[in-house]
Amino acid sequence: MTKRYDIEDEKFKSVIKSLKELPHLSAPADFEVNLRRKLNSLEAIKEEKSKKTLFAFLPGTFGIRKVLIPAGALAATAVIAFLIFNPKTSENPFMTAPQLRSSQALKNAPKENLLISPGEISSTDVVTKKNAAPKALPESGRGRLSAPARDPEQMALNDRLLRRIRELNMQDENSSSSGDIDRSLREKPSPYGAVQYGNGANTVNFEGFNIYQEGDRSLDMLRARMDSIRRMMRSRR
Amino acid sequence: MATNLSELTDEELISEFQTNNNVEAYELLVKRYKDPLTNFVFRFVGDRDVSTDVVQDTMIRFYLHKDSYKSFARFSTWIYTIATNLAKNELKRRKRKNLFSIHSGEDDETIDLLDTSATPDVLADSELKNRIIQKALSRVKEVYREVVIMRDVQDLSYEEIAEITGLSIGTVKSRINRGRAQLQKLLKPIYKE
Repeated sequence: MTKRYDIEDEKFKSVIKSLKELPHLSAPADFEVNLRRKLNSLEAIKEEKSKKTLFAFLPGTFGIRKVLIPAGALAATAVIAFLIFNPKTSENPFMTAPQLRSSQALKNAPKENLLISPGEISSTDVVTKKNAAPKALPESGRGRLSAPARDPEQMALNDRLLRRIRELNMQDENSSSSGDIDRSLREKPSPYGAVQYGNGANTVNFEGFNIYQEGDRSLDMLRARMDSIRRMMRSRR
Repeated sequence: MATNLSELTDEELISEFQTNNNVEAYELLVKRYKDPLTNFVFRFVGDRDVSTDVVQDTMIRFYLHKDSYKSFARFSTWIYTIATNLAKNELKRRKRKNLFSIHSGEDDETIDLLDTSATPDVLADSELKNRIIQKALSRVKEVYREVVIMRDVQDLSYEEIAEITGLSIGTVKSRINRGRAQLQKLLKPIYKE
């Protein structure tokens, strides 16, 4: 393949010779001076631009500016994205109720003083601090109600505790503010008299989101009767 | 260190400029390459002032983007690539300019290559011959012209040309021969004896 190109070199011998004989042009004498001037003006423009930037106060040594600016922008973006997209922070964090001191104290309490381990405690459970000395409980039953108790006294104590917890849970459920509103309204008589409940079939007009109260219709009936008498008298005339 | 700089190779000089920001190394490289690049760009675009501007622009880019040079490449091929790209851009710009201007921009004193008066007797003047060759070169297709100049005017190797243009050696060789063939056709009156 190279041989073929060499043969072709022979073919264009005169052209190659002419091209090789062409005089070599040199750069003008002031080439380097002009280049230096251009570079200086470029550097001056560069410096001017860097002074005008927002982050000009940051030191430019060791590429600090190059690192700090993107890092700051990234951190700010991450914070904004977290505040926007995290569902837990949908409510204002400054308005949320602080954590109860009692639950915090419970968490911090030494585990051997607790009858139930903190991991097993739900929001409805009531946990009492053990007054008795730690040695009153056997090692296996410490901290776990569900653990098999070898001691009958321990079992009885566990049963009592469980019963008490259930009772307290029941009380808690009864005393809770949530519940069936319809049921409670039906059970308790309204202070505004007869209140209509149901599917809305008997209601006449929408009067806002207030409890509908049936009014006195006798006046309306009398007005209607008077209107019909007037109409009858007019027709007789 | 400054006294030894002239003994360093191109690659060592640019490394010195990259690592220590040694402007003397840069200036030395400019000194080494300003003439060959000016000659190459002049043969490619056919205008002395434009070629000077293009080479200056090449040197400015080399100064500003010195870190884009990677040590595995030859410095000569890297700087030739910059110069070639800038020269091509300049040609495109000039073509666009000529397209919208009334005057073609051609030099009035250019010689018609097919003019029968350009006989070998008349071409005794080497200056005139050189002008005709330059004129013929400018008529060769751009893709062939660049490789012909690199090979026959600048004496670059096929490998170097392939590296600069990003072509395979086979493509480079075939383009060179096509360019030469075009040139031979255009210079027929000169070789007619």
